[in-house]
Amino acid sequence: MRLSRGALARFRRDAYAILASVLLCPDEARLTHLRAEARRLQRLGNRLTGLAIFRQWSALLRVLGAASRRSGETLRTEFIDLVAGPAASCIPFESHYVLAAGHEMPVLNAALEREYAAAGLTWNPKAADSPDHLAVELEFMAFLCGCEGHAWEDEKLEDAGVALVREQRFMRQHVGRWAPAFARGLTANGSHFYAVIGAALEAFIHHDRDLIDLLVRSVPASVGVLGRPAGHLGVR
Amino acid sequence: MSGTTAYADVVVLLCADLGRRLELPALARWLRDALPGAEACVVPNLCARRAEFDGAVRRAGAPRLVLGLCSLPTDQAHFQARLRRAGLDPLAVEAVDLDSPAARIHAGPAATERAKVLLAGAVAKMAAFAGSRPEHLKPVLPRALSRRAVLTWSMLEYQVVPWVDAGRCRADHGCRLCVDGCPRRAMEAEGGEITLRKPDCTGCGICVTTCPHGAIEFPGTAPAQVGAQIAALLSAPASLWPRGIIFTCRGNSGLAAVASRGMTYPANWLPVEVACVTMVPPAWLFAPLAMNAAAVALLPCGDDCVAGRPEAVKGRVQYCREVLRLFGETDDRIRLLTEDARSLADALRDIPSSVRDGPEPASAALFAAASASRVLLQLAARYRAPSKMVISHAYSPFGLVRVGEACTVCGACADACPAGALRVVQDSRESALTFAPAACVACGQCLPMCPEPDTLDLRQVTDLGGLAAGPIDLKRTDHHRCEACGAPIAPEAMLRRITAMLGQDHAAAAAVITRYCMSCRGVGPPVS
Repeated sequence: MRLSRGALARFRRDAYAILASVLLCPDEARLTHLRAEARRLQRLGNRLTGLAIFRQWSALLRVLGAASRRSGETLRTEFIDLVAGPAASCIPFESHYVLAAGHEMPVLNAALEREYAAAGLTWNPKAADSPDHLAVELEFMAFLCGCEGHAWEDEKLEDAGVALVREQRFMRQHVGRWAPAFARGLTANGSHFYAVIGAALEAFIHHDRDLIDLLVRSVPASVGVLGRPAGHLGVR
Repeated sequence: MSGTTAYADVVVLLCADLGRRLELPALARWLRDALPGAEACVVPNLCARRAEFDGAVRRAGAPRLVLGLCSLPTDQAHFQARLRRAGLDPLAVEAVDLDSPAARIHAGPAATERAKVLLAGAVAKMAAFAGSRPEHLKPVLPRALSRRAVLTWSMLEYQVVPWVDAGRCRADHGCRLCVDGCPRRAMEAEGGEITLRKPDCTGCGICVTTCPHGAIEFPGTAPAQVGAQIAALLSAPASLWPRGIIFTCRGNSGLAAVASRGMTYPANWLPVEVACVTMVPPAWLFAPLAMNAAAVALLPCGDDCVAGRPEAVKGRVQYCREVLRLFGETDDRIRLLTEDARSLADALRDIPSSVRDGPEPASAALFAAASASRVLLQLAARYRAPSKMVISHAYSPFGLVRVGEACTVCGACADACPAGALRVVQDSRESALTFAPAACVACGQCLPMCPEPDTLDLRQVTDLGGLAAGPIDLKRTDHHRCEACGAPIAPEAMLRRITAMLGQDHAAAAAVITRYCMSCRGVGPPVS
């Protein structure tokens, strides 16, 4: 059972995208989309049994596939209590976790916007969410994985290397630093639905952090991305 | 091996093809009878047909499995993928080789008896499995990465790595024993937390047994699992006696090489795989002997050792043998083996026939962190060793701290002690610097902290009397009290030292410090 690097990147893109989506309000349209995505990804099934996160991943797809129209209202209430309301126990913003360590909000947001811009994305100032919302950061990782996947498929090794180094940096400096703590909160405080999401998110982030390190190391040195300064990747 | 639900979560699947060599129905019956709560069943074609295997694993419906197989799976990545597909945690499955050429060197009834004991060990190991977390695994590159593999590779492989439980870790108190002990410098202490740089970790497990707080989890070679396995190997009711334990590095092919060269070794030598034998502390060598093992052996990987510390293994074995000699025992009860097939077979040819009986039941707890003194005292009692025995050795796992007259009970050494062996204990009248020999790991972190020259002394010594006696006072001094309110200011000895250091030139300052507590210094009567 072989898994091409392109296919692996595509899977990771889909995983980040679906994890980003489940952290937004589960309205009817989103639940319908999640159910369809879960069914589509379940069909990949056996190709992913080689990944250590297969158990948590398949449990996530099972609960998403089973989220019915009837349970939507309950999920929305829980989402507000758990993640979005004024008394939420799990705060989905990076600033909540890292500001205590002495970082400043404008500096954090500027750093995030610089990362997004370096990858060719512009932050829309009218956006409802903040650039440090977990769903935004996960979507960005999905975008980078998508870029990496295209590069592998087109056999553009240098582009794949650039995407991987960006993923590694964003993982180390942002999402990897706080998402596991947020995920543990979901697992501890959520109902079965959100506990499964928390477990899958924590497992996936831990796994992907290690996997990205491994993938970066496996890019042939001749590609020449790894030794270059960050400015080469558009970030200073 | 008592209790009714001890192994309730564990199912043993035995390949029916083993019936050619083993008395399989009797073996399955024995497993059910001897291991309370465990289930055992014989599965046709378990090893030969993938579909049979997958179906049987799924039908077993147990969170933990032990597989009695004709030979161990060679492609671990695919094997683990099939277990995941069946909904299992691959780390919750223990495969026991019962019919490969290496296993076949033990024939006849002894083979079945050996199978019973090995399976009992595996069942106990699985019953003690505490579950795994995503942090316990790191993906690794296939050993040979071809040009083509840059774009496509076969299934990811994973290696089990340790994980630090921040709840039990004492890094916030300055402990960095795991950092200093890691041969790959893969542990990092920062901001009172220990983190593992997974890419640098080889999974040797040295940090696990270095940590005196049991804060490092390591599925597969967790002390609780190793302890449970050895306790079961030594107490399983089978007619295979006396029994010896061989600690081997994971994947060590030494014992298989003995078989492939047409040689053999007695069936009552029982292998216990650990990540790397460099992680085996003296307590793990003593514990089996304290649990009725006739002998214990260590089989390292020689030049292939991932930890690269053969001298440490050798030193620990020498220390243990010296202890045994002082206990009046022959030192061949603890052996250091080499991988060479012929010397290995020679070294294992005999196993001491007598066992020094003791009243203690086999207990997995002897392998836990901070049990080292308990193990040694249990062994000393078994050998009726003199209670005042003192053994000085460079690989003694215990240290002995003494302080000179100049000690002021300032507590700097206690603050630096990662094992909690040195403490400052205060009551309403006195302060005391106490030392618990059983907790001291002889790390030496206290030595540079002492502000008094030549006052603190640490020797790498095992003092049986001290281990048995518990904490002792190294220095006791009265509190010096505030003249105004009577509250304690500091230990008397410390203030005397400060006064002496300040000398006559600063007598006024010394008087302020020694006469009044912090609260009263601003409001006390003027110093004359």
